[in-house]
Amino acid sequence: MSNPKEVGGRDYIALGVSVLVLIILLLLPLYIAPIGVLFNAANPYDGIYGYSLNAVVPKYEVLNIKGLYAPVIVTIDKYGVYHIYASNLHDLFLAFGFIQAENRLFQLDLMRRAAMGNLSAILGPSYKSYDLFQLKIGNLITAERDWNETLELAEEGNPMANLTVMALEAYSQGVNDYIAYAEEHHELPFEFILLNYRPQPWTPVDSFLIQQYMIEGLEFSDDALILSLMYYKMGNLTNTLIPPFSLIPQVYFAGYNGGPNETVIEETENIWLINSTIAQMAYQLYNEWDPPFINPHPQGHSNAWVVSGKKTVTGYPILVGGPVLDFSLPFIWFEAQLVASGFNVFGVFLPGVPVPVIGFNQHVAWTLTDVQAISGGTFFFVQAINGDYYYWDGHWYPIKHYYINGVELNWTNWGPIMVEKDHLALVMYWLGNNYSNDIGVLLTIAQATNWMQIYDALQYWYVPYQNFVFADVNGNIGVVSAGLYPIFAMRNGSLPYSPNAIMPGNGEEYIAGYISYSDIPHVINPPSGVIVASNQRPVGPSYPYWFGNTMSFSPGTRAWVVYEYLINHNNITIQDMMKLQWNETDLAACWTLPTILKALETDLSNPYIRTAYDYLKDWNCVMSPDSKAATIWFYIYSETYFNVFYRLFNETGFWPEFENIRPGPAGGSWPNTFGLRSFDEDLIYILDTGNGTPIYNGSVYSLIINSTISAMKLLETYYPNGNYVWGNFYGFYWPSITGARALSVGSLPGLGGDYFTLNDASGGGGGPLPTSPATGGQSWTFIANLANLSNSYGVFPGGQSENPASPFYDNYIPIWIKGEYLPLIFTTNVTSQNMIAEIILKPSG
Amino acid sequence: MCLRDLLRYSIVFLITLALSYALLYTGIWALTTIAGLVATVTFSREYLKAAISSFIGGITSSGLFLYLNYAVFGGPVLEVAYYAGAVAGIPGYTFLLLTFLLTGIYCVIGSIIGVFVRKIIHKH
Repeated sequence: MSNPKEVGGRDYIALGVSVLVLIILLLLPLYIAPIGVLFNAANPYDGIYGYSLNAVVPKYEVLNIKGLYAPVIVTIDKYGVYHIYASNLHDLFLAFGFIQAENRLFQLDLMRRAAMGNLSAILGPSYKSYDLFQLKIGNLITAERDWNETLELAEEGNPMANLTVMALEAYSQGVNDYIAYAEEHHELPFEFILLNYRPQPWTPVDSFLIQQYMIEGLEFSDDALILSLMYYKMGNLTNTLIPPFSLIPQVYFAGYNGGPNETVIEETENIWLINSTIAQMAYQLYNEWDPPFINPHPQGHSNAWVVSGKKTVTGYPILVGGPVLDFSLPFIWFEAQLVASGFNVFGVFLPGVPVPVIGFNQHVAWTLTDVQAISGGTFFFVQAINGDYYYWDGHWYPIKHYYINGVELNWTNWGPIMVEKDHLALVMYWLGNNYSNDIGVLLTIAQATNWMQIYDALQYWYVPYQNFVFADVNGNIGVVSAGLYPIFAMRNGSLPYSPNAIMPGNGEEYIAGYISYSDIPHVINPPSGVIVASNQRPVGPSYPYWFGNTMSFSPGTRAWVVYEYLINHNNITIQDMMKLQWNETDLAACWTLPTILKALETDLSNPYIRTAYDYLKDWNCVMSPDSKAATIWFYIYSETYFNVFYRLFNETGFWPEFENIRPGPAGGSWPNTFGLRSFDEDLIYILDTGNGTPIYNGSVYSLIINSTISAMKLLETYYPNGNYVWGNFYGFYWPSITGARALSVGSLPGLGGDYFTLNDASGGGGGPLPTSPATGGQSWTFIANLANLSNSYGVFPGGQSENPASPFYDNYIPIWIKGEYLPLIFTTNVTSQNMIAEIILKPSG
Repeated sequence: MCLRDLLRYSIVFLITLALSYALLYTGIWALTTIAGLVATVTFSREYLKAAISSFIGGITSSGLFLYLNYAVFGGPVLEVAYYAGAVAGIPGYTFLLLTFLLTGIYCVIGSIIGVFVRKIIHKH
């Protein structure tokens, strides 16, 4: 170095280099965005590190919160469940907003963005088509309309609307209080820093957006497009493949088991024949459909049942819920008890919604499954358009335009125009765009003191179609398939075209009304003392209204397993229900196995057939992880499916023209396929009866033999050593909503099961792990004991916190995966024994 | 290095550490340059020794900052850094490395400028 006492050339070089480096360090983050993000994130003061404090659960904490009227006590029990005690409802919902945001702020923001179609702003241009689709279907338009309509109703004095407005405004204030707190304390989730944006204030419209998002997940379907395209290519064979009523036995919990209503059958089979232009439009829309949800979307494999006191050991009902949803981390549910004067409810909450979707209070308990009725509440019409006008019922009307985020959205009287071509518009009438204050209904149910109050509240539940299964402490049980079910008619009085397929939109066919609330499927206190609602069709063939075809309802195997158990058992205990909830018996296997075995017996000289036969002949249809027979059955079934339906698709020319439409066996358990429930029912019927006509006109025995050889060869390629136990194909995976593998969990082996079993393994089995794990399952295993609601149980496979460094990030998974339960601490006084933390929220200022 | 130098650069280290720690609270990371500058303008005439002691002072201030503001309250700093790295798609703990390194570099820059300024002052 230079002489310490002289200033020479080297000094200037040192100075120049230093200043240059400093300038580079200052300018780089400004001009190269990723470097700016890295620098911001690594900043010790307001970078990612503050989020570490969010993972800490202090034993005692006092926080000053804006907007509270009085102090609120929040306790966290030893299982991580929040219990919030407020002196009034406003403070209760505000405190809940604060607590939920503290645990799930990034998830909240991501979900509202996913619902409104605003992901590309934070995740990049690859999400533009996703955003466009979400904008197109109308989520944001409807959420804003719903909130404004609720405000108007509240002003008119509607009590449900009043409660909703109060709850959502208080909740929003709570979320925003936490955003302010997190920004002040530099505790924002690191995702915000890494994505370089700040959360906008939460509003009640955002809560309605979450409602829309769930409706989209639960009741939004492109079935009608598929059905129309099938009819276009296959003609009347379509009605055989997708019949109005199931060919396999069903448990119709709401009755109507008599002879079929011929008018309903005729309407269901009266599919409007589309031309090639409309077929192209339908296929284009199909390809734009099913956008990449970044949060869990529901799957139609849920279970709910309730058994009356006359069949239980306590003399009081037991209610069991197992809603099946896609898995993710953070999980979709958040668990809490909310207590205020006249309000005491425990349950699981969605992000953004200040009332439990499933839960119980001191008087009633309830759980939900999807009804899956009437084409998922999504209907399509073809309307003529000319310039800025559309044709309807003899007149031309102006198209309504909306402009959101620079995108023009066009609506006719039915709803959004999804595809336009040659002066024709394929228009979607989605019931999700009707007004429905689900949050208000849930708030009312949360305060119900008996089953009648639940029943009364549900008349205002329009979408999504949900089986509300409930019980009260007075021993009553019931179910209502709540929803708004349209009745289609023709103006000339003729038979309407099937609403399961695309309909003409010239005004000829219209909605003449809706099934009255007293007529929608429901049952209260059935003589059997048993109600099972597992997504199967709720009403039998004699139901006088069109209620959809076999495309939407679940095959019904899960419902049968539960129904038979409950009917044949008495003195039922909570422990019995726990075991039943994790039952691994595959009824589809039980029904098809006799024919499969008979077929295999005809060719036992073949070593593949012999091996399969030897495993299957003594198999009990239980999809247990250590069973090779389970794997063999699943693969024979799958190969048979491919051989029947894929051959049909090729022979009729459906493929390659519509080659992207690719249903798959076992509810779409194979990668890159989707579940088309009618086909599973068709195949079960064929394999049960041994008769494939007219779907499969060849020998069913030969079909089974060939499928078995293919299946065994495939298994041999996977496991040359023969170790193809089901556990090597069956496991669960929890992807992080960030997409990062390090924040994801799995694959973890489970207790056993598949698509047809109570312990659902949605989307798994179609390949050895880890390539094809189940990505969904029972999202909340819930057992409510109406004899003593404080002795109820439940767990969801996730954790309360979205912070991966938190001990409550995924702590429920090891419990859930073993089929174990956690007691639900339902009390107005969480003792210090059960409590790990106490937070006092005080009014600030 | 003689005892006097050891003392001198220990002081440089301590001043850098203290000032850098305090300046980190501004949230303007580059201000930690001042810590290196102030420490060396008063005590140092040698670039290398000043840079080394400032660098160590800078990274120590980062560590101390993370410890006293987060870790001491139970905040899982390492885990958060690791998971944030995973989400950002960069190797685990890159953020920690960057946090230490950048503070050190800012302090080094300050220290070099400080030595230069000291020399100019003494020259006049």
